[in-house]
Amino acid sequence: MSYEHEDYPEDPFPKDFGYGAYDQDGLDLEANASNNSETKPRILLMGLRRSGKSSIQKVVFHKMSPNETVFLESTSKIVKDDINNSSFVQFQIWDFPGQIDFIKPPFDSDMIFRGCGALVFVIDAKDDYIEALRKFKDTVIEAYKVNPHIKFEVFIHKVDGISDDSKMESQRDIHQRSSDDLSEAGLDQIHLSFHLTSIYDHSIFEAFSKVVQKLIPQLPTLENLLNIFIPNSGIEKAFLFDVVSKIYIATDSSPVDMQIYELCCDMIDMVIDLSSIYSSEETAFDSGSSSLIKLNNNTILYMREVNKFLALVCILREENFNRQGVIDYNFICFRDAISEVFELRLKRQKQLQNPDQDDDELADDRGLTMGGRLNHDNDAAAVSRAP
Amino acid sequence: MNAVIALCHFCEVDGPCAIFCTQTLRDTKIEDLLNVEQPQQQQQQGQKACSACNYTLGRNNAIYSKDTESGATFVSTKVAVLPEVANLVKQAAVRSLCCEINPNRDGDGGFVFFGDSSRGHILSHTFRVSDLQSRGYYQLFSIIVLMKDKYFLLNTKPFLAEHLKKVSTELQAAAQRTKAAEELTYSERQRRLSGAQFLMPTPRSLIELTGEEHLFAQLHSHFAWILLAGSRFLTEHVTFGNLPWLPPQSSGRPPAQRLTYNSSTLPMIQMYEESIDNPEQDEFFSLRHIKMVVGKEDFPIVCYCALTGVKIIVRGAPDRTFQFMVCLKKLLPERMHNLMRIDAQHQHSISSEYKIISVSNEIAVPIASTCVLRIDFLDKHINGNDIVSVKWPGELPRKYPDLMVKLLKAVHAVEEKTFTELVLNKQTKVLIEEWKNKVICLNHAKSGSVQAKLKKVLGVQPQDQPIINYWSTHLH
Repeated sequence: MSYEHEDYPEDPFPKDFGYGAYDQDGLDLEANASNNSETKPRILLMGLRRSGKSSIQKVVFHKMSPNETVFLESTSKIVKDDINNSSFVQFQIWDFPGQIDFIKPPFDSDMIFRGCGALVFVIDAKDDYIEALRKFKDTVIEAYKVNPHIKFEVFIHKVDGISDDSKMESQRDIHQRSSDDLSEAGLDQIHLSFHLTSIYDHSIFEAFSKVVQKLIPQLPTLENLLNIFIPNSGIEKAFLFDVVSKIYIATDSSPVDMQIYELCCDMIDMVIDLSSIYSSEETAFDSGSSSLIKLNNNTILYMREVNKFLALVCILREENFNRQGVIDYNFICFRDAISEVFELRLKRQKQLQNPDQDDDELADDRGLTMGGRLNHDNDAAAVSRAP
Repeated sequence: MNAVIALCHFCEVDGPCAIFCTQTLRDTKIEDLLNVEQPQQQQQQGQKACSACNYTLGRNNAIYSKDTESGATFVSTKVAVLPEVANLVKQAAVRSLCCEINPNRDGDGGFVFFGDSSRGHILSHTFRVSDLQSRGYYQLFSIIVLMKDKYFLLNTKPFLAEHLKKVSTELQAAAQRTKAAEELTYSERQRRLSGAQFLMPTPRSLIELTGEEHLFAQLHSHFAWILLAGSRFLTEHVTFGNLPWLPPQSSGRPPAQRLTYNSSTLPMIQMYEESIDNPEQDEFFSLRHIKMVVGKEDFPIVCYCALTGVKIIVRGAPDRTFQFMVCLKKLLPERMHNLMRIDAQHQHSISSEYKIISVSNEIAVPIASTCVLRIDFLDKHINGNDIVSVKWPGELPRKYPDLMVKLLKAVHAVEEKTFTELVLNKQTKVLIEEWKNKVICLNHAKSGSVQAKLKKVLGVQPQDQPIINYWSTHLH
C-alpha cells in the first residue's frame, strides 16, 4: 500500500464509512440491512431481577438521568435495542427480564447465544450475591456450550455508597467464587472480566467502554495509532470517544485514570450542550467541532472531531501546547489513518461473502498499514520539530 | 366451548405465570380429578411462595359451576386440572406476557393471536393494572384464551375480545380506585426521589390491588359465562352423505342457515329469521310503516339514502327498531340483503361495509355526515307511536330517481286507500326487481358507448345514476 498524501481525497471519509454498513445519508440502508444485522455484534445484559440491567442500558445509551431510573418498570420481555444509526459503535443490546430463566427450554439458548459478542452479567453488590452467582454459573456454562467466543463480563453493580474496602472485598469474593464454580465445572479456560460499576458516576461508562472495545476487531490498530500519536505530540493521555454514548472505543496503552476519564466525558457533554444551544440539534457535532480547556493545574484538555461519531480527547501539559501546529498536523495524520483502517474494514465486510481470505492475512495487512503510518508520523514530527 | 381461559401475570419475583385458570369439563368427573390434583398443587406451592402468585380461594382450591342443560362443568383452579393442559397454559402465559405483545399498544389493552397446532392457538389480551408499590407503578396482566380450534377461536374473536375487554377494564378501574385512595395517604414518588432505601415490598396480589375480596369468584363467573356463551355462539352442522351441501345461490343468508344462534345470546337474530320464514307477517310491514315512523318530510330522505347506498345507522332498543329494519330491507334487492345488519352487537360492524345497520342504545355511533344517515329512536312515545330523529346533512337532488318517484307514488296511493298494503308490498318488490334487472343488464355492457345505448333503451335517466352506481357494485 502506498502512502502518497496526494492520493487522498479532500474529505478522507468514504460515504459508507463506519463499522456496519451505515450510510451517512441514510439512503442506502435497505440494501445493506440484512448484512448489517448479521454482522452486528450483540451484547446481552443478564442478571437477577432488580440488579440494574435496564438502568444501565437507559443511562448509557438513552441519556436517562440516573435519578430517574428508580421509576423504571420491571422489564417483562427481551428488549432489543439497536445502537445503530445514532452512534459510530454499532451493536445490539438485549436486555433480559431477570425473572425468567432463558437458558432452559422452552427458550432456545442456541438462538440467544449464537452471534452474541459479549455477555454482561450484572450482580447487585448491595444484595446477597450467592443466588446471582449460581445463575451466572449456569448461564456461562450454557453460553459457552453454544458459543465459545463469547466474552464474559461481570458488572458488580450499585457500588456507589459502598466503601472502597468492601468494594474490593466483594470483587475478590465474587471473583474467587465464580472461578471456583467454573473450575468445578471443568471450564478453567473461560476468562471472566470484573468491573465495579455504578450509574451515579462514570464507572458504568468506563466498564461499558471496555466491553465494547473487545468487540472491535481493529482495537489493537487503534491503540497502536494512539500510542504513536501521543509521544510525538507531547500528549499525556488520549481517548477516542464515541460521542453519543460517551464510551471510549480506544485509548493509548498508559493506564486509565478515572478522574481524567471523567474530565474528558464532561468535556464532551459540555461541548455538545453548548453547541446545541447555538446550533440545531443535528449539527451539534460536526467537522468543525473542537474545544480547548485550560485547567488551573497547568494542563490542557483538547478535543477534536475525528468523524461524525468519534472525537479525540487529549490531556496534555500546557508547555507542550506551544507546538499546537505539530499536534494539529499529527492529528490530521491520525485521522487519515483511522479512515484507512475503516476503509479496510469495509473491504473486509465485502469479502465476507468469499471467506477464503484469511483472518490473519488481513490482520497482517493492517499491521503493515500501521507500520507505514508510523514512519510517516515520525518523519512529520521530526520535520516540524527541526526549526 | 372447549377452551381454557387463564389469567396470567408477570410477577416481580417469580416471572410470568398463570394464576387463575378456568376450563370446561364435559366427560371428566371432578371426583376423578381430586386425586390427581393434590400432589401437583403442593408442588406448585413449594415453588412459588409470593402472595401475588398464590391467590387464596379461602379454604377451597377450586371453584366450579355446572350447566345443568349441557352437563358441562366449569372449573377454576390455580393450575389447569389436567397436566397436559397445565403445561400448555404455562407456556402460553410466558409467551403472552413476554413475547407476543402488541407493540402499538405497549402491552396495554391489545389483542394478539398466536400459537400453532401443537401448542394450541391463543388469543391473548395484555393489560396493565396500577399498583403504587410496584416498579413502574403497574403490574402486567394478561387473559389468554387457549383453544385447539384455530378457526373457531378466530371466528369468535369479536365476541371474546368484547368481553375480555370488559373484564380487564373492570379490574383496571378497581385498581385505579385503590391507587387513588392510597395516593391520598402518602406519595410514593416523593419517597423514591428522596433516595430512602426502601424495603422491597412483596408483590401484592390482585385482590389487594383491586380491593375486591371475592375477586376470583367474580372472575370465575365471568370466565365460565364466556365459555358457556361462546359455545352457544355458533355451532357447526356436519352434513352426512356424498353430495356436498351447497348454499342456495339466490338466498341472501346462507351463512345464517349454517349457524344456529342461541336464543339467549342473540334473540334478535332469531326473531328476525322467524319473521322472514313467516310470510304472513310480511304484509303488515310495508314502506308505509317507514313513512309513519319518520314522518312525511323525512321519508324521501330515508328512501333516497337506502336506495343510493348512504350508510344508515338506526339506533334504539332492538324491539323497536326491528320492524323498521324489516321494512328498510324491502328497498334492497334480495342479493344485497347481506348489506344489512340487524342489531349489530359490536362497534366494529358500524365501520365495516354494512350499509344499513341497527344498533342498540349503548353502542357508540359516528355522527351524521353526508355519507351517514342517523335515525335515532327516542325514548318518548306519543300515543304509542315512536318518536324518531332523522339526521342527515346531505341534500336531496332536485330530481328524484325514477324508482324512488314510483315508490313514493305507491306509498301515497296506499294512504289514499287506492290500494292495500299487500299490493304496496308486491308493487315495491316488482319495482325493485325491475331496477335490479336493469342494473344487471347494464353490468353486462362492456364499453361506455354500449352502456349509453342500453341506458337509452332501458329508460335510465341521469338522476338514476346514483342507484345504478351503488347497485352495480353489489350485483355481479
